[in-house]
Amino acid sequence: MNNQSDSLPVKCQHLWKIFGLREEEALSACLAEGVDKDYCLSNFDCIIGVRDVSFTINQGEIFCIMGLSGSGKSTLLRLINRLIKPSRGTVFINGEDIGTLRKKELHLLRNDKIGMVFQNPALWPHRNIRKNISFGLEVRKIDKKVQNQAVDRAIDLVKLSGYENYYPKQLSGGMQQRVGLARALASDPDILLMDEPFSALDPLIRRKLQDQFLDISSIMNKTTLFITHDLDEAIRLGDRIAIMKDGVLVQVGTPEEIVTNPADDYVADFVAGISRLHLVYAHKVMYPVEQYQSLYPDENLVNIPQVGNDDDLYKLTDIMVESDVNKLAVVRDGRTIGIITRRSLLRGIQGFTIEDVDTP
Amino acid sequence: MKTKNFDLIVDQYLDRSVEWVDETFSVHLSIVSGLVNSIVEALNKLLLMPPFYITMILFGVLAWKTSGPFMAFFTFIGLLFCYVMNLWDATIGTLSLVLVSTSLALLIAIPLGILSALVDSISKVTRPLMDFLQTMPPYVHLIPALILLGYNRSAAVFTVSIAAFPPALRLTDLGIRQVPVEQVEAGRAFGATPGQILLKIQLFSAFSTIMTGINQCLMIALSMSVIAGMIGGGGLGKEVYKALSSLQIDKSIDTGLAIVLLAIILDRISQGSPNIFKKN
Repeated sequence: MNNQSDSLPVKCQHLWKIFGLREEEALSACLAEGVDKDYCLSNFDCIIGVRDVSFTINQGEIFCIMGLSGSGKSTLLRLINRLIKPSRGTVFINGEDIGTLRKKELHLLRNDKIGMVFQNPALWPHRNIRKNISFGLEVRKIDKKVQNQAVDRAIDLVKLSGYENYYPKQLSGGMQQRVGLARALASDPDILLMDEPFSALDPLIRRKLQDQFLDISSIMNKTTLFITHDLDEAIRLGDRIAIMKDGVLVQVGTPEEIVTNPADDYVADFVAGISRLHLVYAHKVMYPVEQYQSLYPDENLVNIPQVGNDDDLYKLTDIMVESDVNKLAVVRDGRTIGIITRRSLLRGIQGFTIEDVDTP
Repeated sequence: MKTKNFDLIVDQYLDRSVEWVDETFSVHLSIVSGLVNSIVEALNKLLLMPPFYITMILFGVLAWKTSGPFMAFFTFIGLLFCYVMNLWDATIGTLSLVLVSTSLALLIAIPLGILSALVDSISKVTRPLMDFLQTMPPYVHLIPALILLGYNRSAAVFTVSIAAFPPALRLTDLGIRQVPVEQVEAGRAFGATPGQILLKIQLFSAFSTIMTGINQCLMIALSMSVIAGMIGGGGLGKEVYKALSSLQIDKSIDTGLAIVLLAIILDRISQGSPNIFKKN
């Protein structure tokens, strides 16, 4: 095993999870003959939850797993902290194969290194907020003073100071979910697992909590695995996104990659409705300067407004409108590397990249 | 011809089995019998020690703390009735029998109920066993109890406990099973061991269902205690039996009323017992 993978917070190799009494038979069939889920269901009465999934997550990254219901994303999340045992495959946390851990070590891993947030906040109704948040520390019998400090810190992060002695049922859904987040952060874990944490909340609160989470995340730099079925949310929050369908990882990439280069029709359909304004950057809608000059050698390119390689479509639109021009020059390291025309910009907003636009 | 002999054979077999148990375990049985009997007698003496009005007031206070002033008043008046009708000793007698039997039943039922909820193989045994115990008429195990344990309080305790413990076990099992799955999963996700999950999450969530089980156990114990009066249970059961056998309608109504009052008092106190832990 090379050193680089040792330092990766999460690494999954060829994970399979099949549900059913005849799990092994179904697995063998899948491995040997590559049968599909309908075959497994009819012949073995088994459901394929996760099918040969491999990926890694980098330190401090927010990794979003996206998919519709039944895509296997919640199962995959639970394989990471072994709440569900894989049928086959390995999960490495900080380089360690968690399948080899003894019970005590596994409990410690969940307690200390991994924090989990659930869709239904799953707070314990008989415990007040303070005792909900401190549960992980209490389980490990940490000194009371230290517990209280950790709770105070966590509650402060989610901006719920003053509610320590309340009970979950006295709080709104959004507040309960913030407690859930505080609970996951209390033991200062390396990795956060979040299972559709904001899906059950109304859209306004959801946006607020997403913002709050982004703030917290930038402060704490925690490696996060975030499950959602909302593509907007995944794009807003994720450094990288993985799209799952029927237990298979269909595509992994940055929001921009997914949106501009969908791997197949399924992904393309998914991202069809997404606004490109903040996702696509200048380099995707520019003509390489040499190509443009060869087509229009007489044009004066000196006085057109300059934009950066990483400016998004929104900014480009702004500049083009405010400057009242038809062309923009993309500049990097002081050199013009590309030209954006009105046509290529507008087509870019529509969802076409430069390759799709024939003439400038 | 053959079927006629078959039932005789089975009967003989059953008789022999009971005899065999009686002979083989006679020492153990008499120890158990003596022990249980003395516990009941001791509790009985304890409750009879203070003057009746002290006991009444104590129960009144207990009723107040668990169910409020009206119940306190009702308890006091109810117990006063028992005293005035010359049924005080009998009431205390039944009360000690009920308390010992319920404690014994709960001591077995609650742990077994918890295990049954958590371990599939155990629940496969307890479910049919509870079905059996709950549907079988209690009179059926009255007789073997008498034979094995003798005509004293222990036979009554045995019979009452057996009748009373199924609801406690079933409701404990149910309570634990009905803990919302997310709460248990959250416990696991934060690294709690199964034992910690039980003590910190499941028992709290199942608390009210388990309390219902305890309450039901108590109520059945009370009604069985009356029946057990026929086999040495003493108390109000014995009084009812006496009154019925001598056809004294008035006395049988009095005793019946005392039983009902005791039932209401015990029911309210046990249902309200969680309130003792809540501060006003």
